[in-house]
Amino acid sequence: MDENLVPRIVRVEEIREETPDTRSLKLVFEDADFQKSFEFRPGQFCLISVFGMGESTFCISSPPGRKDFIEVSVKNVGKVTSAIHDLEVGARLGFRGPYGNNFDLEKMEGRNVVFVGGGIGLAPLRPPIYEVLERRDRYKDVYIIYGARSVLDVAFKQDLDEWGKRGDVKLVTAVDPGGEDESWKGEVGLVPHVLEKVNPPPDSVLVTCGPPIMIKYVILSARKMGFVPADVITTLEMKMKCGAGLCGRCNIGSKYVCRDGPVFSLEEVESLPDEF
Amino acid sequence: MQESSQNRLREEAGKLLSAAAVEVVVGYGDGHGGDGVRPLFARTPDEAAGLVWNDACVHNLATYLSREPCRQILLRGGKVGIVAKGCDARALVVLLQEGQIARESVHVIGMVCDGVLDPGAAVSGGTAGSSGAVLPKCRQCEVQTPPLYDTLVGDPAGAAAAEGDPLEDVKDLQSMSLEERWSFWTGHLARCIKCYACRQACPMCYCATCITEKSEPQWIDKPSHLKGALAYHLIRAMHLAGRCVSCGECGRACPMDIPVDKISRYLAGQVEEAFDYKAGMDPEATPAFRTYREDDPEDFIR
Amino acid sequence: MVSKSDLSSVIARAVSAGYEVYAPGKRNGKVYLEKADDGASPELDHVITVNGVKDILLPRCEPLADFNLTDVSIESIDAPAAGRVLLATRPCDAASLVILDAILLDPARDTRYARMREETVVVTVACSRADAACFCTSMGYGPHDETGSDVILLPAGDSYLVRPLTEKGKAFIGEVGLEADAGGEPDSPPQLTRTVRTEGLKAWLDENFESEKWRDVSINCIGCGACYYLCPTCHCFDITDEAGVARGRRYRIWDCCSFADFTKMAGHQPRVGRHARYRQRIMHKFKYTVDNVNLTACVGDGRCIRHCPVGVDIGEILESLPEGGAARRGGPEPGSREG
Repeated sequence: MDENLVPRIVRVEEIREETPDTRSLKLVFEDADFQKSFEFRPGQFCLISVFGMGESTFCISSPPGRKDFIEVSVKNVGKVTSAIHDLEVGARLGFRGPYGNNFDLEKMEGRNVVFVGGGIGLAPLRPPIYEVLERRDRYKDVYIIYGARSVLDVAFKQDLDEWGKRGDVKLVTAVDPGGEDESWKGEVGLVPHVLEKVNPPPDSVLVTCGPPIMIKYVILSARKMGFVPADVITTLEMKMKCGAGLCGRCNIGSKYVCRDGPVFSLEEVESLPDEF
Repeated sequence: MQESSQNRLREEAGKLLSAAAVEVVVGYGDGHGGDGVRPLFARTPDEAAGLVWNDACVHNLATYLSREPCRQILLRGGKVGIVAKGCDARALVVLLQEGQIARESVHVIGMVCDGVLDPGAAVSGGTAGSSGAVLPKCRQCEVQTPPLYDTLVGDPAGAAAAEGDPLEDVKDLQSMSLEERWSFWTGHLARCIKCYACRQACPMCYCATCITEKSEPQWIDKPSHLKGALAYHLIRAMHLAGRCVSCGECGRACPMDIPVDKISRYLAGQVEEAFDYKAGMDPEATPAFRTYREDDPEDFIR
Repeated sequence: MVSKSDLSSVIARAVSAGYEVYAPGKRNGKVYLEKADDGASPELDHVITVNGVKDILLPRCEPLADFNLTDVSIESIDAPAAGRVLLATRPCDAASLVILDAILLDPARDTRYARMREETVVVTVACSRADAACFCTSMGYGPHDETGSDVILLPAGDSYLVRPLTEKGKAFIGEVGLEADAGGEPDSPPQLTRTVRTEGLKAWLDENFESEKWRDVSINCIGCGACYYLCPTCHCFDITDEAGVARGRRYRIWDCCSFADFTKMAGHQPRVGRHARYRQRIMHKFKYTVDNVNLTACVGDGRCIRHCPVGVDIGEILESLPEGGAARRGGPEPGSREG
């Protein structure tokens, strides 16, 4: 891997406002040949630069099979992300990546797969979901359980619609109690409770991403339901700068989230010091 | 004289800890292998027996009140004991005036001091007063008896201030031409590595988030190039104007031997000239930049 | 052999051969490793320079790229291609490069460091004396150790025996008109007064992330970055942009796990408290780097001890951690709020 820390230029082709504080950007590399040859594995992340402001880490959230663009989803929480929320189509940004490890989808073949996402946490789940659905016959039952704080905060509505229309996916969407309106037809409840209600078989692989508090309680529920820690997969987040295991910043114990993660099994997470 | 002060200090600290009047006494102890001194946190009477008092006790321990563990103790209403020379006690006065400590939660063991040795200068033996190798700030010291204390250790009558002008080195700078001064400072600041030892050693730098750590916007350039170093040191000097007690710890802490203390000590001299005010001398005084008088000088406003 | 006084002509010859030479020079009474011009005479009487070779190969403020904000383009600034010589470095500093190599060249390859490293010749002058802070022998190195050097100059009276150790070293001494000394008796290496016992340390670190001892050993620490920035094996960095309206520059700059900002994210700080950040220092050097690349990230140069303004002594701390018994002085009660 050649790490010179200098980004490539990407252009914002499309902006999709997912929720009031989250937008997805469709990005295309300025170098068309590079765009065609660019590959990433589900779970990997990138560093996007707003020149003059800085860089931020985002999971690459587009379907890995699509070669004509990449996507990132950005929540407005700080200096760089608020600058991204001011951008318009045509803006040019920097891109470094892909970095990190990936979801081991081969290992999940022949088994039930339960995706559990919350809020913007559906973004890192999109690539593995798309890959699994692309090769649907290699997996047994596929569940997608997704929750948001309120109807307004439901992200990726287009994807949820598509997945819901398929006959071969058990899709359950939920909003937190109090977040529903008269038009809401999905579940009302916190994601961990919805997971317990749906009650997938505990010998399934469970893949979860979302706010840390949601992950904490999803893991508790999964343990309660009898899931095996090696089969509960999540992504961890630490402050990052280089993305490549050089700058010494993102470690949890001996593991660098940018290099040994961001995808970790619960078994691995439990062996890490409580520093995240 | 110093030895009896040391014994008295140990006795006093031991008493405070036995009676649980304080949870910790922040003082000086032997350095590693008996070499020099360093801060010591005594939590038991046994540990208090390790406190030392001699002319190597340069550190300003007041900086620890805004750091762990003292910060936690004070936040939950506990009490801390602290060993303070006059210059250190001046820092305590400023912390009091700025609402950072409550008077009743700090027991100050004031040490009568006739000077501490310049750790950088050669030591030829003898007491601080006679060797002439004391820190510049110790010359003509006005606070040999600390301006704030609960217990006083040492005999005020016995202390003799070192001769000389505490601002002599700063005045030398002032006598340089502007070009010479610029060359002096850019030459030194080219070595600044932005380790912030100066800031962390300073009792007055207690901001939970320093301006250098603010990122929206990034007020101060992060890199340690000359522009970044100048920005940081000049902003810090302005934030210290009227508050710096000239303890010189910033200069001592600098691993690159940049005399950063000269900047703040110079400004402290300017504040004294313009407003007849010296930080930390009088707990009852109102700090210069927290008040306005109709007859304040305006000759520098153009 | 080369006499001490002849080293200045070695510098002159290296400069005219196109090298950038870095050698110890005196400034304000202290000795720093700095750029040496033609005619410079290196300091040789010191124990160790204030700064290390890290300054040269992983600069504290390194421009990465210039960007244009009008048409939003970016132009890489290449790492300098000129060959450089690190002259009269100490064995501990040379050894630190081997550790940095293990971290920065594999699996990810820091191309800037790699390029500068390739173009650098390390000419070490072995030590004639040590001070109370030196503990290189306890870390597996020594005053005459050859690790990381391309050429080692061994003191022999007023001269040095010239021993090239690598192909790069052989080529270099040829370029500056020196000849290798196959034989010759060097002066005995100095005896260090300090040893740091490390038996049991790694095993203790493996099991004691949560120990109360971390509060105890870090109690004097005021949270500056002096020991980290002077340490030859600390390599952590930040990437930061500086921009005007039309243009800007991206830099790689040193950063330090002592600062709260290091790991602070929007809404979450994983390392709360001085002790947690000091723990990271010790763990990174004495456990994580061992776990990941089988090397301890410490060469025993002692700079951290020499320059700490408040007497934090890493040797003392390393020995005290695995010692039996509870923390020497109880810290604040667990669960207390910390900043």
